[in-house]
Amino acid sequence: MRTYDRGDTLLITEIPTLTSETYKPFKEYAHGSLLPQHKVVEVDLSCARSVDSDGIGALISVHKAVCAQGGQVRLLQPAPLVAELFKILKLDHLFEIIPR
Amino acid sequence: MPSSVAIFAETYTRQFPCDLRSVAEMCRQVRAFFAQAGLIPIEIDIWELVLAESGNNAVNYATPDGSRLPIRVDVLATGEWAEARVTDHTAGFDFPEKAELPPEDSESGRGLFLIQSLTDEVCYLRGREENCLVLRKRRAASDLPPPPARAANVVEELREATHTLDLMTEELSSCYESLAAIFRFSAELHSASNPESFLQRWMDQLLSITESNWCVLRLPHGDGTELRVAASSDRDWRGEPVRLEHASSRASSVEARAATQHADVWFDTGSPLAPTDPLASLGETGSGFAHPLFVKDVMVGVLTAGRRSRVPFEAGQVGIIQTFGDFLGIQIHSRQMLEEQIRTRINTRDLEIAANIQRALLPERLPSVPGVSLAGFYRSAREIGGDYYDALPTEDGNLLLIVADVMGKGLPAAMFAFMFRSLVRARRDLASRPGEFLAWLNQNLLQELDRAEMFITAQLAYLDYQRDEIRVAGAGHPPFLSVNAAGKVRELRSGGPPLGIVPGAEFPEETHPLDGNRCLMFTDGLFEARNLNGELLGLDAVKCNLSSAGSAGEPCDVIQSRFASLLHDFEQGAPTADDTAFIVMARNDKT
Repeated sequence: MRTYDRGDTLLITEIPTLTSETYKPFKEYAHGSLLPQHKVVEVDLSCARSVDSDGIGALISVHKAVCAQGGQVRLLQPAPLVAELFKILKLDHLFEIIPR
Repeated sequence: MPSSVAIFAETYTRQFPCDLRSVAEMCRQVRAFFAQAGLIPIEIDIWELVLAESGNNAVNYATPDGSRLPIRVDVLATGEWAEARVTDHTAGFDFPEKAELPPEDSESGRGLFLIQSLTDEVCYLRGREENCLVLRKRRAASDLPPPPARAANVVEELREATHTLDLMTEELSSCYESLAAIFRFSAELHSASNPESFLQRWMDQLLSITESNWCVLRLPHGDGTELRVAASSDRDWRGEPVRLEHASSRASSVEARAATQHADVWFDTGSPLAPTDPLASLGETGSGFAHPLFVKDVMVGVLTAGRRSRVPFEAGQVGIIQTFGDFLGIQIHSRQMLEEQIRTRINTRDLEIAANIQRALLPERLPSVPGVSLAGFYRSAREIGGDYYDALPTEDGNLLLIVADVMGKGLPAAMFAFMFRSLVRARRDLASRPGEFLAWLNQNLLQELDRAEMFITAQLAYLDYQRDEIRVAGAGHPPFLSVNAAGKVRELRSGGPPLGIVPGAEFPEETHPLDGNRCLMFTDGLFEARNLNGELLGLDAVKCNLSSAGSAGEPCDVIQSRFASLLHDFEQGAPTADDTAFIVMARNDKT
């Protein structure tokens, strides 16, 4: 994983998977990188081969932290199934999803 | 369930250690398997996800012992369907018919919802040692041709396919038998005239379907603190009742524990039945489980099935016993509700008849007797009782006043009151000797009252105008009250027992001058009225009011209204516990 601090935007990229195996490091990494000035956190999911319910839980955790400082989370280019999961779980209104 | 089975099927079976890393590896292998079986990429992604969710649950919820056992995954792909079975070693859980989403901000709890949303069929079979999650999804490209049969191994593939077909046919057949049995059961239950023999026969059916050696159905008894055997596959075995209190310890009955813990309770050689458990008297009870039958939150019974051997039931057999039990529970509950409904209808009809009899008991109008005015009052409680009053002119030109109260409520009380009234009217020639009259009534009602374990309190007052006196006799009844113009109340207590208790009882009479020109006869409902605070009206209040009525020279109808108002004002809307009847007599020529 890699982060890019762009003023009020934090970009997290190079996420290979977001699953029960990997969600904890992601969560710690994201929370650790979040600064008070960040109003937008962009999570680049273009490389994420798989995302499961634990991974979605980690994204919700980041969303809550960003919301607490008046910001939002943007999901970049998730795989079609991952984008569909947010609709199935009725979470698509929580995140701004930028499709592939 | 697939409507047909393709002859060509690809299978994958693996056991892997109970950890998340192995789940991920299994998912990668299944991806490769499905790709080889010809599933399209989006299908493969979905299967990877649902197997990851299923595998993660199997790891995260494994019991301490179960976490040392491998998780098994069986995957099958036919031309039309893909299926996966994940066998876990968790404590198991009740798989919801429709999983619900957690609150939006929850970071967990979405796995089951995803599994259900992304597959076509989900079934969770619970067992003693293991549970099996069965997932099925129709293939998106079901018109794909079957995998090409390679000439070199076509015979081997055909053999494997035939074996798979046999297994699936066997499973289908088992399911069909169970379903057919349950349908027959349902159809018969509603037409069964003898529930005991019906349940007995179905215990036998359950044995054959599930390869049990014995099974027992217990139902709650009395106030629900005890379970009693309703049916057992062993016709000669009638186990002792089991109490539900203190059912938490392992020494208590498995049936009681299942009922109080709302969960299946298992037994085997590792955790055998307690020696005091009534089931232990069935002989060899190697393994089995007690399944509580709940409908909503109401415990309607416990179904226990067991084997003599140590070999536990397979997951599918456990599922059938649980399903059969749950279905049985619903049917038992429905039948109980139906019986309750019928009882309520009968009771309502019973009360209607009793009310009609009660209305017929009371005189439409009291007789007109020169120089005398009369007023009667009757008020029923919530349940119809057997209070009764009457005034009968006698052949010698005098008057017999009667007040009676049959112990009890409802139709029996009303019927005895009716019998009492008929007998009194039939022998009014005895009116001038009220004590003898009561003795005769006692003699003629004794047998019937005794058989019904009921009794009647009564009071007869003969008003002799020629002699200007009153003759009173009572049978376990409240006192006779009279009052003169000065407001002095006289209380006549005559001391015979209630009718229907003592054979040959005697009923002494009391005779007094009719100087008290107003009389009041009443049942206990008048002075035993209670208000919202539970306070009793009492006899003194009645006497005090009668005194006021006497000194004020109130006519009968005014005295009647006075006591009706007294009851109303005192009770302040409190529910009426008992019937009330009274009759007032006033001498007009003395007022």
